[in-house]
This record gives sequence, structure tokens and C-alpha cells, in this order.
Amino acid sequence: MTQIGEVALWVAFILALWGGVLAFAGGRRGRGTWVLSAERSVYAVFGLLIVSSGAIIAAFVRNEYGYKYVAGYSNRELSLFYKITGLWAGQTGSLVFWALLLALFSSIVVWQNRRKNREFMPYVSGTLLVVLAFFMGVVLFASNPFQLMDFTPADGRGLNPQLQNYWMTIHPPTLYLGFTAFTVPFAFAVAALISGRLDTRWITTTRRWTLLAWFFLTNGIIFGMMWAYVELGWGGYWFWDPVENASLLPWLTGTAFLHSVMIQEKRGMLKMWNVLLILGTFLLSIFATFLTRSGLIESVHSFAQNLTISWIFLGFLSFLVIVSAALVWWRRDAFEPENRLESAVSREGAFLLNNLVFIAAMLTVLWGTMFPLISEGITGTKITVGPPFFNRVNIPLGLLLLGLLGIGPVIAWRKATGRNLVRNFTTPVGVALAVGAVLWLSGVRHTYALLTFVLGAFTMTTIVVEFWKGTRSRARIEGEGLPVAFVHLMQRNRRRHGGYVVHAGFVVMFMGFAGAAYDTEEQMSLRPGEQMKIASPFGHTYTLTYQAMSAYPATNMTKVIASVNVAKDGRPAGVLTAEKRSYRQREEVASEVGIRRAWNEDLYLILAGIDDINGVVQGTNPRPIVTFKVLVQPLVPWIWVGGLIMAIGTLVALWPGAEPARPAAVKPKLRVEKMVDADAELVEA
Amino acid sequence: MDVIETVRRARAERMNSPLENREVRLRGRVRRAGILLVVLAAIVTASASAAAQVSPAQAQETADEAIGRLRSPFCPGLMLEVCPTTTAEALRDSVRGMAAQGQGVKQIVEGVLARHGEEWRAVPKRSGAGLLAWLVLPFVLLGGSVVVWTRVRAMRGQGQVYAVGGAGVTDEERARLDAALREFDRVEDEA
Repeated sequence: MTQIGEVALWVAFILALWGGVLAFAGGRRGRGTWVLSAERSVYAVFGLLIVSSGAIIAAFVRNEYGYKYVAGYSNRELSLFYKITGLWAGQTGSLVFWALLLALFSSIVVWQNRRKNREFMPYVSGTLLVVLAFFMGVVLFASNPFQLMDFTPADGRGLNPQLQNYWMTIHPPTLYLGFTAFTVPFAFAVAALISGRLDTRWITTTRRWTLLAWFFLTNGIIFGMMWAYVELGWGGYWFWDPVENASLLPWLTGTAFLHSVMIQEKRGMLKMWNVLLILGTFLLSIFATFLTRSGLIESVHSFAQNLTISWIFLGFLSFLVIVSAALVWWRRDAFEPENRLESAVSREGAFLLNNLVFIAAMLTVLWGTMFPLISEGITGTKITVGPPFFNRVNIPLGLLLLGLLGIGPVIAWRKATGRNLVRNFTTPVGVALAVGAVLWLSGVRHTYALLTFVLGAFTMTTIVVEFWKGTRSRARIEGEGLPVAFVHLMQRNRRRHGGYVVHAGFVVMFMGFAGAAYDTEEQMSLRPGEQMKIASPFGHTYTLTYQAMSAYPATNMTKVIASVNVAKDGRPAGVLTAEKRSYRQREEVASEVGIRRAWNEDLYLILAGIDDINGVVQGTNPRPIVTFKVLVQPLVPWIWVGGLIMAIGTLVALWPGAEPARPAAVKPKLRVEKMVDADAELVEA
Repeated sequence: MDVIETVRRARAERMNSPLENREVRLRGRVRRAGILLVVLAAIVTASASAAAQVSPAQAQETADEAIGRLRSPFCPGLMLEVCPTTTAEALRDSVRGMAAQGQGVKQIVEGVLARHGEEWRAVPKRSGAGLLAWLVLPFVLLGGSVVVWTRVRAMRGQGQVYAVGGAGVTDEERARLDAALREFDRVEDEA
């Protein structure tokens, strides 16, 4: 059965190559049957990759340890859930999984466009098939999951303990979904370049794909942060690790693209810039994959390190860069803007600044990530760059973005008048100053934290005022109740109002980040019955009483658990446990932290050390001295809530529905929704 | 008794002579200056000792900052502050010890790097090759701003605002847009 998977992979690879050649040739020569054949090969490749991936999962479930990949990432005691997720636990399987997701998206794109965008589709199908062929080629020639060992071991090596976590099972697939979904707008951009149709059609066609890719990439990054927070056991969620940075790079350019396409849609400007942004986003996705798997830069992610694969990825990346640059150069005369920028004080100006900040952030993260290699190449000495560097250069940029979030959506298109500025910004500026004053008087002196709250208040107020104005106007003119008017307003222009919700989530998330300025930490060794105290920046005092230590065998591991009674300001506040897990098969120990969550802060308990762990496991020492590290992390829950709000906002924007009415449809008697959206919508021609 | 009386008189005579008086006063001044010097030396020594004995809070702050500028030689990719190994804990203790002795952040960081290697520095120096790391952000922001500014000026200099291609706004649409915006403003003002 498993061998069928390898055969399917080979057939899929040959079909993808064949389909890719047919698609481009059919497009250039106008041979519809060739293009149709190429499109059918996309479906076939998807079907074959399902068989191939199914075979790998079956090998995991059936404990076929003769396969090197299965033996390396599973063992008999591993739960079924983790055996299934073994498909993407290692490098080899994850490449097959990547190809499977891309084939799924490719099939959907081909099916969606079977009767439209026909001048794009040959090149779209061709591009998707070439990328698919590349991934399958890497799997077949450099990292084959169906590779058999010389002997069949009785058991496998088991899964890395840190990967045996719920968030880790969904973090990589979500990230891959984001990376692969960005291939679709990339393919349409290539098609637009080849066909010469560089108007807004390729952008409107891929609008939802871009949003979908951004949705998955954003959530993938947030899931990774959640995993780091609960699993790595040091109380952080973002570490500016090269692999984390690699996922952030395409997110930054993708977010810039989401904003700048609006200028092209509304004003017919920035055509070349948008093409460059989406090409860059896809290239950075490939770069991220290269960086993750090469091991060239030291990382906490000890994912596979395979130099052969690194060189293959680098070669493919170079090929893509050359082809993309050549296409843009070829069509350089077709990027003539349809309108001109009237004023820098306009929404276009705000979006340009927004793009500048995103690109600056991307380049600084890229530079910092690659700096050890660059410095070693130039000076012969590896100069490392750690989180303090990234924080210093990126926090000011983040604050600038936070302010722009409030300005961009409400400033007028074309040219903002003084009246427009006063009308839109008086209340938000007033609220922001009031919040700043209250926080200052409350003792908040950390500059970045204070700025974050002030700018966050400004942006949040602009969003609330926008919703309030729209809802109130609609309620008055249509005679609706406020809640109904609000729902109708959201339905009226989902993309715009979904975007506002995403911005609100971003503000909440940033406030969560700012809380880190007030983290507190204590470390103490305790005997059972002894206490330690830690103060919260919100004025509370937590008292932790070490109760007992227990050890027991569980599936795949032995758990050693310390129980701690928590009291907040003297009142009982539950029990926290922190664990050490000793994984039998891999002979590795991992920590599990205890977290007490409140709306405004987390109490984070780490089992830092046990003076006699063997005695605990053997039952000879039930009362060992234990070292606890305790942190109070203010506003961390806001990060996850902000992420949830962003996800909801993106879903609102993604949800299928009628597009906003265009000005041609405006009747002499203007309806209120058109008035509300007037400054954003009516410029469309 | 006569001998004693004679000595007393001789002393009294010496004391009364101007030369002898000056000598005595000089001796007294020298003695006082000596005492003052001893006191000053004691004060200086005490002050230096007090400077070396920084307060625990200051020492903790210095140690935290120094630890925050170091990557862990014992955990690949992790900062020293979060590396969970016992050797990392020992290094953190050593840093705290140096801070308690009155060493500054820079001194501690350089000391640790001298022992463990330059590659564990988390924040690049602002000199030499390390400066390159810091230059990219101002360079990108400045360069990007210049490019955007140049483009904006070029666009505005061309004077034509609308309708280069078919997607431009016609006069009729422009009038309708202005009317809509006026109506929008009116509704808002009323509200």
C-alpha cells in the first residue's frame, strides 16, 4: 500500500512537468486543447498527491518502521493523533504536505476559472504546475519519505517532545496554507505580466485568495507564538528566531500588498509596485522555506538541516528572481498609472507611507536575520544579532504603523482638506491625549508602552467613530434600530468593515505586546508547604504555596508534576501545576508550564529544577526541594484576543457577498449606505 | 626640689621667647594637618568602598541588562536570560556577582564575551562591522522616503490629475461625487 504512494508521487511529478509545459505552450500558441489538458493535469496531480500523502499517513498508523521517515518521527506508543500529524512532523513529509495543499488550491483555482479569465489561465496553470513540480522533484530526488532502511527496527525513534503539543499540530499546516495560498496571486501576477493585462483584473480576481493567504499566514504565526508560549517554557512568545523571522517576511510584504492594491483598484496607480510586492511575497515564502530547512543560521528550530535541499531551494529561488525580474522589465511600459497623486496628505499618501514602513520592517528583519552570514562573509567574523537588536529597530516602526492604522482608513482619497482632518481626527486625538494623561498620572513611564497605549487609543477611537457614524446615519435614515443598522452596515461593505475589525484586533494585540514592559519575575527553591510571593503590576500580590510532587507513567512518557496552591491578594485562586515529562523512547525531558489566565495578566509557573528527580520517579523522595520560576505577564491574553479579533475581521472581509454598488448604479436619490461609503467608493469608475 | 624648680623656670623662659612660641605653634599645625589628612584618607577610602558596594537593586538592574545583551553559549539560538540549563544559570549567577562587585553593564558584557567568544553578543556594536547592522534601517527609511518624495513630486509636477486612461472620472461623475460628498457632510453635520 505504501509503495503505491511513491508511484503516485512519481506519476504526479511527471504529470506536473508535462502539464506545465503544455500550459505555457498552449497559452503562447493559442491551443485550447493543450491548455485544457494542462488544467486536467492539475486535478490529476491533486488526486495523486492525496494518494501519496494517504500512503505516508498509513505507514505511520501501521507502524511501518522500515521507512526511514516513519522510524524517525514515530514510535509505537505515540498517540494516533500525533501519528497522523507525522505527515508534517519532519522535513520530507512536510514537503509532500506542502505540495498537497498547493495542489488543492491549484485545483480550486482551475475549477473557479474554468469559464472566466481564460487569457490568464494557461499561465496561471503553468506557473502553479511548475511550482508543484519543483516541490515534488525535491521530495523525489533529495528527500524521499518512501526511502526504506536496510533493516526494520522494532520501534521508531519517536516524535520530538516539543512537537507533541496541540498548537504544534496546527501551527505548521496553517503556516503552509498561507505560504501556498500566496502562490495563487503570484501565478496570476505572472499571467498578467505574460499576457500584458496589467489592469486591476488580476487583482480583483485574486482579492479573496490574497486575503485567504494572509488569514492563514497571520494565524499560522499566532499559533506558533502560542506554541512557544506554552511549550518552550521561558515565558516568551516571539523570539526573533531566524525561522520565526522567515515567516514574518512574507507577512510584511503581503500586508503591504493588501493595502497598496486598494490604491490600484480605486485610482489605477502603483501597478508595478503591486506586481513587485506579490512577486516578492511569494519569493520570500520560498526564501522562508529555504532558511527553515537549510540550517545555515543557528535557530531554536532544530528542524531538519539538509544542505542538498538548501542548494536546490536556492537554485529555484534564483530562477524565480531572474524570471520575475525579466517579466517586469519586459512589461515596464505597461505600468502607466491611470491617475496622478494629487496630495501627499491623502489616503494614497498614508498608504504609501504604510508601504514604506512595511518594506523597511521587512528589510531590517531580513538584514538582521542574514547578518551573521553577511558579516562572516565580509569580515570573517560572525556577528550575531539577537532579539534586543530587532526590538530596537522594529518597535519604532510598529508604533508608526499603529498611528497609520488610525489615519489611513479615514483620511480622504485624493486630497484631505483641513476640514476633513479636523472632522475626522479631533475626537481620536482628544481621546488619545486623555488616555495618555491618565496613564501618566497612574505612573506609566515606560516610553514605548505609553506611546503604544496613546496611539492605540487614537486608532481604536477612529475605528469606533467610523462604525458609530455609519450605524447612526443608517439607523436615522433607514429607520432601523442600532444593532440592525450595525449588521446591515457590516454587510454593506464587508471588505472595508472587516478591515476595520482587523485593525481593531491589531491594536489590541499591540497593547498586549506593550504589557511586556511590566513583566515581573521571581525564582525560589521551596520545600513542600513553603511559600513565595510575586507582585503584579496591577497591584495584586500572588502567593504560591508548594503543595506536593507526584510522578506517574503515562503513554509514551513519565510525568513528574508539582502542585502549587495560588492565592491572589490572600484569597484562594486555584491550583497550578508544572511538569517535567521524561519521554521514554527519545530519552528527552521536556517542561510543561502552568498558566493561570486572567483577562489582564497571566501567572506563569515554570518548574525550573528538582533536587532529586530520580528519587521522585522511584517514589523514595516524595518531598523534594523544587525550584520554581514564576512570572506575571501583564496583557499577554490581549495578544491572543487581538489575534482572534483579526481572524474574525478577515473572515468578515472574506465572506462572499455582494460587492459594494458602483457609482454608475447611484440613483438620483442617494441611499444612505452610498453616502456613508461615498468618500471611499464613488471614485471608482 | 631645686632641680625641678630650675627645669620649670627654664621651660617657662623658653615658652616665653618668641622663637620658641613659633616652633610650638608650627608643631601644632603639623599635627592638626596630619590628623586632617588621616581623616580625609579615611573618608576617601570609605567612599571608594561604598562605591564598590552598589545597592542590591542597582546590581540586579545592571545584571539584568547585561544578561539581556548576551546570547547563551549553552542553548543554540536562545538568549542567556531564558536558557534553562544549569550552566546558563551558573553564568547568570556569575554576571550577578560581577554586578554586585560594582562592574558596569559594558564591563560585564565584555568580560563574558572575552571568556566565551564574541559570537554570543546579542546586540551588535555600533562600531566596526557591527555598525553595518544598524545602518540598514535609516538607510532604507531615508532612501525610501527620497524615492517616494521624488515620485510624488514628479506626479504632481505633471499637473494632470485625472483621466489618463479609460478608468478616469468624467466631469459628470466628478459632479456627482462632489454632490454626494456634500450630502455626506450635511448628514454628518446634522447628526
